[in-house]
Amino acid sequence: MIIIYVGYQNFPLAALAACIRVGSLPGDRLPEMKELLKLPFITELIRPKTPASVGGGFQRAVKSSMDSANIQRGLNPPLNEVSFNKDRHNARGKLTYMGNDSENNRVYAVWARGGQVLNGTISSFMKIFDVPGESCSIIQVFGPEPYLLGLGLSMSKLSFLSGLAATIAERQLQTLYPPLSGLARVLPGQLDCAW
Amino acid sequence: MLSLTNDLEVNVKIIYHCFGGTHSSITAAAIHLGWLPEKEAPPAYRFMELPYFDRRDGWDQGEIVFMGKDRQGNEVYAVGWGSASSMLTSLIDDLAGLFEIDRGSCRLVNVMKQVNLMMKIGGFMSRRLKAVRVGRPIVIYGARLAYRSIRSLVHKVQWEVGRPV
Repeated sequence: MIIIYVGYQNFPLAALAACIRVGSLPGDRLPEMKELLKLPFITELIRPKTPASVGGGFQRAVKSSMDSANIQRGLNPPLNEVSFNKDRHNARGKLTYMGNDSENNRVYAVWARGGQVLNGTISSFMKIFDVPGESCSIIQVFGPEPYLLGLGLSMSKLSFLSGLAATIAERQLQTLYPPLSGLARVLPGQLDCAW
Repeated sequence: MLSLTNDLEVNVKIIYHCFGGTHSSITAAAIHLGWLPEKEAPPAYRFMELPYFDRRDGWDQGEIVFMGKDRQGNEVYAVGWGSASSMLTSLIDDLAGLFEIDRGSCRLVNVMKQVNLMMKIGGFMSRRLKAVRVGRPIVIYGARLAYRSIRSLVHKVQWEVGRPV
């Protein structure tokens, strides 16, 4: 089964929930700053991006899609141009493979502010292409934009501010992390928000 | 030989997308399906007879709605993607790969370039500000002005889709 975490924020909260699910982050305690900073999509947020870091080392859903220009051939620019010119340094809105969970479900995350457009697009896509509902579940990650966490992570690259950065990030994690852990434990069959 | 014939008969899903998915993409889909005249811009009441025309709101963004099948059997859809069309185009590509769907079976057509200022102003007033009485006539006037341009786009799409690959 495929599980897609859809985040409604520009900060990759959906990816954090997916990481807890696949075991890249702890589910029973708050993660330490260094654990967060090891995650490629976090690194991408706080460091100058290079083409090599796009997608942060995490695989996009299908890398071969970059070679495809079939969907919009003719009238629109090829897909690879669209995704690389405008959003080259941005993992937002890209379906990112996070790993397999303990039940061997493939877990993906996608996030962007205004996530209802992402959610609607994924759900409609599944309907019009007759993708069976039982083969894919969508878990919506609501919640406000975690500006303090973003600020803390960004400050952490300045070594003389690392202590303050950790404090700020931890403050927000204390409120954010428990609900994220809860979402990470949700079983696909129990999702009320699953399509 | 049989398989070759079958290959040629594969139908395409054509998705017209614009900002709100309620004016230009609906108009394009309607022209594609032959619901609106070929020669000249139709009167206002014909626009209002179209399903979803000036009736969808922000919360409907992202929902791809089925409009009908054209003469070749291609399915025609419309959707509003807000200002995130390039992001969602690449998401569609990712989803096609994830669910192992042939990318050639889906065609995304951006109608935003055909949208004029009147359509933007009227659409904003009608949908966002809910000033329907004022906004709707303006957006329909704009749609009539843009009609030729939208029709040309649809003709191009029909030609591209009808052309053997």
